[in-house]
Amino acid sequence: MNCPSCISGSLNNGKYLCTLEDYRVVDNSNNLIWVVETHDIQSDEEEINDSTNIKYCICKYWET
Amino acid sequence: MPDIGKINSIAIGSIGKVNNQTFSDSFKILGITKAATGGTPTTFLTKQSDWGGTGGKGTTYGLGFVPTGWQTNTTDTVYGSTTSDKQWTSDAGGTTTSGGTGPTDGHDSSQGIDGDGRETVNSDYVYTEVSSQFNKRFLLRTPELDFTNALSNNTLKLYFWFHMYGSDIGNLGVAATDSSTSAGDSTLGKHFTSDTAGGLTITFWDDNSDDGSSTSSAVRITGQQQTAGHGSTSVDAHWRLAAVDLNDLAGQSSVYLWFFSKSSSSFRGDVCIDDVEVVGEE
Repeated sequence: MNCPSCISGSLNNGKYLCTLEDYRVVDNSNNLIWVVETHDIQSDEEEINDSTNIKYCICKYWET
Repeated sequence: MPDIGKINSIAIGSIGKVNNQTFSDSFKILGITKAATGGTPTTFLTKQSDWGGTGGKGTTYGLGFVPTGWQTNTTDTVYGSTTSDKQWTSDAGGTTTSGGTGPTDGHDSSQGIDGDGRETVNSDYVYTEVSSQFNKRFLLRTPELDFTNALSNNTLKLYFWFHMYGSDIGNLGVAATDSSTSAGDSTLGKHFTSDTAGGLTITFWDDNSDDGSSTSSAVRITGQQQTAGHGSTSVDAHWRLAAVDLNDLAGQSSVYLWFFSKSSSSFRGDVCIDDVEVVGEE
């Protein structure tokens, strides 16, 4: 399936993940694709390690 | 039913008094209702679609950045002696940061109140960022509004689009006061009295039909509304329209409208609004 943003790229399965330092897009092996934004959420909060399944393109488009 | 325009050759619209009592617009006598007097359509608050604060697009959006005249201060009163805990956050478009909550993007401002709730790319909105901010009060108000010349003919309305997606959404309410620092000021009788009571009645789209065919009314919109968001482009993730009747405030020279949200106990609770406007007739 082609990316609706850049058209030429393809959509891959991955995750939108909240780590200790940032929100990031990772592939299904948890390899970093790109960092969305850093945060200052405390390490003991439930949001840390929360993830959502997404489809992403290397052009930095993603969707659920 | 025939449309009765005259009684004994007298136009109903021209009747000023009946039995020495003023026959005002919308008053009903013996089942005959006087039609509301039409005025000139007027915008009292231009649709707020750009939430970039005083600097506009290209500047840093974030916590507490609101357009000129708007206010989100933690020193402002919600009700009684209770003050706000947190400021609202302006977003320059895209999702809020946490997964499982917030919209995919801001509402498409080209869609008017007779349109739908689709989002559009890189569109501003303002929201409550509840990560690490559980059970907190967020307060936001409009600039001062002048309804001195507004007609009391049931056309004076606040409209806004809202997005409340997430498994632990709190609530959203609207109040009106003549105080620039308190949503609990009782002078106009439209103030908040607690986290869940007081303020104005909101009539809002309550399902995913995306056309206003199903609505509810309450002083708070409570709990999750949209069933999708944060990256979804399905119709279930679209914004929904809310309307607030301001007819009782016609004639007031100084009015502030307040948006209040109390967060719940999880990070999946971002409450968002966009395309806020006030219209009526003069």
